[in-house]
Amino acid sequence: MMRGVTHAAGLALLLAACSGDEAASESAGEVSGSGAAIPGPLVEAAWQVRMSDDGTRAPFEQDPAWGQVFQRELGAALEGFSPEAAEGRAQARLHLDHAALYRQAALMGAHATVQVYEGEAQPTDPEELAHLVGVSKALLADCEGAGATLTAHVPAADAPYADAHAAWSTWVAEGCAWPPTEAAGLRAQLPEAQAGQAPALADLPHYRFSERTAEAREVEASDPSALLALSLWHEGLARAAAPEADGPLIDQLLAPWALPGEAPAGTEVQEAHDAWLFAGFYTSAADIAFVAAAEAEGVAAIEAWQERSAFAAALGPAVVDGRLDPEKVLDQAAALDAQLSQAMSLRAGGEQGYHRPFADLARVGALRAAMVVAEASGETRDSGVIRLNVVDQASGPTLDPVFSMATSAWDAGNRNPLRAQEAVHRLVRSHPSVAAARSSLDALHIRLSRTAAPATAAH
Amino acid sequence: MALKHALMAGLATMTLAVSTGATLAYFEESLPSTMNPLFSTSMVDRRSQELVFDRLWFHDAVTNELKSRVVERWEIAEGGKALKITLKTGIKWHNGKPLTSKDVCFTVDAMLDPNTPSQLATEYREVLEGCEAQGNQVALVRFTRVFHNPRERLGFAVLPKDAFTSTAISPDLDFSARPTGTGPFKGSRGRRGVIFDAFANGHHAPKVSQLQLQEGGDPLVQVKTIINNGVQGIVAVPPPLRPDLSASDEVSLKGYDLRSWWFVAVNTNKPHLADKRVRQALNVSLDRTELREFSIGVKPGEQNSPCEFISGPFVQSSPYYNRSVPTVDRSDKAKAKGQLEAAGLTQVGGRWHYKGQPISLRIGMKAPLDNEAPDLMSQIGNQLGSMGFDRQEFKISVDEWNREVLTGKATDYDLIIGKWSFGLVEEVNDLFHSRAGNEGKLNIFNYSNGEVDKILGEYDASRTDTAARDAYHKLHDHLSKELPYLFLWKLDTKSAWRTEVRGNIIAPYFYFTEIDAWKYAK
Repeated sequence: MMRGVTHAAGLALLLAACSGDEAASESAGEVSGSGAAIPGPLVEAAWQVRMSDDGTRAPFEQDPAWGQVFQRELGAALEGFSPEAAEGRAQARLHLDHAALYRQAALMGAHATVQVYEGEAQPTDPEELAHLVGVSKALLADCEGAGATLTAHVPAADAPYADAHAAWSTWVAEGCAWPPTEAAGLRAQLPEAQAGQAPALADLPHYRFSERTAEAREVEASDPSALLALSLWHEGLARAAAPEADGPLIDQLLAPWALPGEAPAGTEVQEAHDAWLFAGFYTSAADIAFVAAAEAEGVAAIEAWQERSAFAAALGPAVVDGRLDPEKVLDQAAALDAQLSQAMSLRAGGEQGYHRPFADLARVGALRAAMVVAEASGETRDSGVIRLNVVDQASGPTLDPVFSMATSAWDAGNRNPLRAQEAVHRLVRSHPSVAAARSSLDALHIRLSRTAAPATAAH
Repeated sequence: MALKHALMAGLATMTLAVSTGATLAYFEESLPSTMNPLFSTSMVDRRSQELVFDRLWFHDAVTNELKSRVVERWEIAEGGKALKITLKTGIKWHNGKPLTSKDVCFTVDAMLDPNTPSQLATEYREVLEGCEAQGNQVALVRFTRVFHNPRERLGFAVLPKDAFTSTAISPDLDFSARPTGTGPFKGSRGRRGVIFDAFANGHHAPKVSQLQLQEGGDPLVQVKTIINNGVQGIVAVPPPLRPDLSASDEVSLKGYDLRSWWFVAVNTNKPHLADKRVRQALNVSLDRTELREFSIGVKPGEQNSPCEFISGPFVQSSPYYNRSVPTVDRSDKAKAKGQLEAAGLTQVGGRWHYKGQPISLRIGMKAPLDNEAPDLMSQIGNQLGSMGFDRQEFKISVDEWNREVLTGKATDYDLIIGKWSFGLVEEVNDLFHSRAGNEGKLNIFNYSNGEVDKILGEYDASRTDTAARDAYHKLHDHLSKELPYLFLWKLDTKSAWRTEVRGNIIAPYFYFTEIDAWKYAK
């Protein structure tokens, strides 16, 4: 069997391009997954299977912006949707994707700032960087450390961040109650909230501090909390655009991308309009709730959600001695992919080219869910192994900018700047504000490379 | 065709071996030149050595945690200028002898011995001062100064003292073909490949009994062979063939974090290329967009291309890349003609002449690169030909590359097409500094420019990140005008492995660091 990859603009065109005689002529019964099958009702409930019905899929094919969602062109899709699409949910979903991306960019910037200017601090570093280290610690939910760092640094009265420093110090002293508000010193000048817009952060880099050397070279630095401000800006629009009843679902959708200090989302299964699911990485609302539960419960959530969530059902056989086995996770995700492909074939009366990319989204979604489970269970390295498999398997519709940014944040936290730099370099073209996290990442790279084992160029 | 037949003939044997679940065959870019870590010059060398040796410390390919497989414990000593390391017990060399602190100290001493002609050793001489064995398990490694995180500096592969008669190690010893390490595999190089046999040891438990490195030839044959399960892996798949493999359920594409950029080195010592206006003319004679399309398969305007133009000696995502220096994406023949005429070249019968003699450019390219970027040399030749230059084209074997090109002896060539790869450390001083003493060890055409040397000196002397970055930004800008290289592009590397190969995390740069977890599961 061959995996379909599509590149057309509109969804109808995309899906038509995926469907061809060659694909349709392949056997619908070529399902060879070795894992245990997930219960039939969960398969039938998956959007992939329901959308194999032409009539159900038709509303999505009529709006070209859904094609951009499918292709992960977040900015273009956001601009493309009308405010009325899916009763505001279409725009809300894209604003939420932007919120997630910038949350993770803030996380990456915070990790890199702490790693380079505290973990690898040099006596020549500008002392003003202590402010950004303190803010970064606050974003990483190290409230105590943030307090100590912010208190130890007294900015000059005319320092451009003096007001922000005072506000952050107050917020931290009061216990870091989420969210940090404008008053807490989020550094971003953003326009009035306007649905369908995606403003970029202005005046980057935020600061140019002088090194403590005779030359006093300038160090460019940016405040990662500006990225959080941008994220909150989009989150506000997402909540405003969607029906009020969708609020708890938005909490769950944002949960995997939340910063460490944020309150966990509820775990009740919410009603999810297809606009939240279509072309996404969850098969159903139950998967969304399962992942939110897994954030808190780890591997225990798998058993609890076996009968409700396709992901939980798929991952069940991958639990060995109380922990997820990454290799079995890969098998189970592939089995889910195969099972959905078969069900789509049956529903559509034959295999269509778009079935494979739809199923791929579920496969990658299951891997991402497993990654969350492993991490929450303390199996950090296994979670990393699964993450790297997601990175390897991502292409076309499964190449998600939000996940790329999240992996960059993970890398920065692991003091591994190279892959993150590549991702940021790509993302900054479509999301220029991500550049706010670039300066600390670059500084981390230079500093680590200068303390690394000797190496020479290789041909 | 002969290669294809040879590969197909070998297929039955390899498939039989695989059916035991124990042997993996894979295509490399070429055969390794050496398996002695002190003398590695290519990524093939480094990947191969990772199977045979243990580095004292390494980074986990998943978590990036600094780890050691051979060190039991360590402590800072002598006020921070030394590290006292205690080796694990029970680790054996591939000859059955135990690993001891004498081996660690021998390796340090070998690198410090000025009669060991190793580029890597030269670098380590800046860092290491000596080593003292204290009993069989304890070694005190001394540094030239106090280092923050000194373990990070000890990323060298440990060599066996008993395999050498002196600390002055020569690259041409039998050890380079049949090395003795403590790594998970015992390697032996033959004329057509390298066999790596698993070696039972206390600190390694490989699940694959044998790896077979084969020299990759025609990339299309490589792809067909892996799809037919004739081999299980390809280290570097050319971009045009990636969609074929990506579409297969039997093969997975795997990312390989490596910073590689391509170039055309220009022999500035040739009289007709000494004037930088001539080099600037050559630079704008190249239509990189066409080159990339025809040799890499990237369509103009394609988003997220694995191949991105560069204007200096760094990839664009690097902090050392000077983003204010524009890339040259398209040719500008009128500009090129003007520069050539300004430099005193004349055109006779459509062909460029220097001092009355027709110019014929001898162009060379490292032969294995033709698999990654098919026909690149011909395309470059054609573009220069259409500009009015006669040319001759030569594929340079890896052996000749090591023997002549890297040592600055390939002076017959006018242009040489190559690729450099880097990991975390992206230092380029050896490529552009004048050859003198330990400087300019990889300066292909012995390029020498006082201003460049001065800038590289600033980089070496830099005490802060910004000073280092500023020096390399200045270097980038200067080289983009001086043009000892015509900078082409960075190209991502992707590997392909059969899906039956499991647990195959590919380590950034070193590749096989996590080989113990690899297995073959039918």
